[in-house]
Amino acid sequence: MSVAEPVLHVDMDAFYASVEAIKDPSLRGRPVVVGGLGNRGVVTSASYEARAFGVASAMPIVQARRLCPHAVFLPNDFDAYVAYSRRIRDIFCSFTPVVEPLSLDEAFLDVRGSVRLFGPPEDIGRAIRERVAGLGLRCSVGVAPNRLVAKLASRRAKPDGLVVVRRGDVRRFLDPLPVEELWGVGEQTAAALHRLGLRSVGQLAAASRSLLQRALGDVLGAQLHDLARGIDERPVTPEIEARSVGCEETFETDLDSADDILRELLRLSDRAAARLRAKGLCGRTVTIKVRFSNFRTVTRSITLEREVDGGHEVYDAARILFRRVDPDRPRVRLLGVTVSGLAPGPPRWQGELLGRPAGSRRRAASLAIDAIRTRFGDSAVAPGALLETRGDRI
Amino acid sequence: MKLRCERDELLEAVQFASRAISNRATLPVLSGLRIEAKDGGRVTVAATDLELTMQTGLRAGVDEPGRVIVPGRLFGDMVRSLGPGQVSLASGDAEVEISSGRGRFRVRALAPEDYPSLPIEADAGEGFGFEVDGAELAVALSQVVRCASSDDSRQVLTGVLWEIAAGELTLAATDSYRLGVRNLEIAGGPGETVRVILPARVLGELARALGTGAGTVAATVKDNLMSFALGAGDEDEAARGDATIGSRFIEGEFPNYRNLIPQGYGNALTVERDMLVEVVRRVGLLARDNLPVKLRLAAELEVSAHTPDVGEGQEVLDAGYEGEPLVIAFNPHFLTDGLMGCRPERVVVEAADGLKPAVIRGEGDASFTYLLMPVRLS
Repeated sequence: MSVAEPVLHVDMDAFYASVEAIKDPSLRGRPVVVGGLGNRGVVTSASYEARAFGVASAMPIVQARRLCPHAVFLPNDFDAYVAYSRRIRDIFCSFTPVVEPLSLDEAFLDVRGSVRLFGPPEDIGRAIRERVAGLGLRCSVGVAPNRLVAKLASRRAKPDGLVVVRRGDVRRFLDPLPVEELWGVGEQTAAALHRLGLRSVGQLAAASRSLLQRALGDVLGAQLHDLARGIDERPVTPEIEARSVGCEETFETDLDSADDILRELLRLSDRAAARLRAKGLCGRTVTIKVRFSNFRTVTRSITLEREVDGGHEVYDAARILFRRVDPDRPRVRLLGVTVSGLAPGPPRWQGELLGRPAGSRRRAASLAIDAIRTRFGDSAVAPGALLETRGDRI
Repeated sequence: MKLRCERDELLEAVQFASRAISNRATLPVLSGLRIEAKDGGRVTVAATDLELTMQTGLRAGVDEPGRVIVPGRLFGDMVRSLGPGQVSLASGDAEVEISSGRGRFRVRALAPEDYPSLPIEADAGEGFGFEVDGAELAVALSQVVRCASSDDSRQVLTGVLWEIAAGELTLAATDSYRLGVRNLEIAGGPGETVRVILPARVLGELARALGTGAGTVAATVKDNLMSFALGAGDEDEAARGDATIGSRFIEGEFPNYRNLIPQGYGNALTVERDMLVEVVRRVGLLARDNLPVKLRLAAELEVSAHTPDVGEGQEVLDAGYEGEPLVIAFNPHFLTDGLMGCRPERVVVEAADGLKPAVIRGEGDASFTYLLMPVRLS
């Protein structure tokens, strides 16, 4: 059976802020802003009540505080967002196996194989919205012939709505949109198009292909011309398994001493390893990412002799890698630690004849720490080197 | 220098010596082969990378003694491409001329004064010597060299320990996951035990040169160098061309391996070597990504492996077993290495538990011991 509008784009509404409101129901109906709370932090999510004051995602948190001083400002709690994201994904997967998550809070679904079971795509969209509402969350759904239009439709549906764009209505839907709405049109491309007098998608679609190719280059010109005419043939690609596990952090103030950098590497290593263990994985390759204050970014990796899932092992590798970077001028803005070369954990230990520290005992300690953190929170146990930074005293 | 010889003999000598030419020669001149002709028909072909030196002789008619350094790779290719028959070599001003049949080739020679003196010819220091059966040495090397580490960060472990005493030689190597120890008889040797470490890479070349190795190997230890003269005392010596392999020692302290070998565990499995090797190879196909094979030691030995998302395998074979049943897991390659090192048809695997090293020996053969650390299953 051919399905004219098989692609759904599901986008959660104010996802992080909504999860916060589930965690603390007293936040419901209030302006909530989630993000990095330091001087350099940015807004990652704002409730619609906060958006009414002009707060938007990716805005510096300082600006958000000015716009909406009475909002509740909360730090990111990614563990909670990941947990809810997983539950939402489970809902998607109960309708179709062809789910392509774009981030924690949005995904494409191809439902052409599901219509016999669940009815036409718009019914599936509605069913998904109901199930998501059952979690206490809201989402907007676009239903369309392809990814491009589905994504624009869900944007139109916001908040808390559903928009279907029929195959025959695609041009009518796209034509009035400003060119900036299309994928791949950033400030520079938009400016180039404006110089040609092309401001709406309809004008872009009507322009000659060769003109666009001359102005924008062969590839981008052709691509935009297709998109403007509603042609987008990229298939929805189901999620491939995680290839790496890790975390990174931008610091409020640049780190300028090797001690501070190593301490943060330890913290990130510890966190990355905890995530590995939580996913039941182990890995052999450790990568660090270092962004200096001048935005020069370098990555270094090392593949270890065997798989690891312990914070100390990841840190040992990260420390060696950092020495290879540029320890002379450490003004570091961002650090990241990633483990790849993943295998199902726990790691198997090839024993050694010539004494090295007993891996199994360290591993037992890691597992005990995981158990304590699960019960008492992430800050309940930390490597000694990290205690000072929180102002704790033993 | 001017000489005549058979192409086949020249080719054999060139191929032998060329194995010491490093692809990453530190000095350009080390990419060369040294050909030296002395009065009385003695011609040698040699190469060195300063760690490994390989030299061999060939029968030739020497018209004019002398020495020349030829570019190793090109010269080898040229000799190989010549037809069988007599070859003439003559060196002139910075050139070498090879003629065979109606062909004549000239190649630029390398400067002989740049070529270092061969370590095996250095005349420094007091030394001692011993002799060992070539076939036995070949077996010993095949048993032990594979246990050496390939991790350059622990240099000492990339070598094989030679513990030389009067009448007795012990070879030991470990990459810290397994340890191979082999005792063999020698004739001669020092008054007091001498310990030296030779690179596994060099010993690989020695094993290769020995082949199944008939004859006797005469070893000399001198200064920081050990050299092996192959086919010494062999009736056919002239034909074999008195090949010599020399090696520098690896500096450093080898771990005290004797302390690692446990004395008598309670649990001992006796099993047909080839059968167990076959089973481990078969089941090991399902131990991917460095996963181990699991052995359940009992009178019915059960070997199993499991790789998530790939599959699992299991096979049972009859064995003799004394002790408590126990489960132990090994890297399958390490395990087969050890089993194949044993010469008797039946092998004995001793183990304490899943954590302590297992001991593998041939039944009734104390000359070779293979220690293998298990993979801990957490």
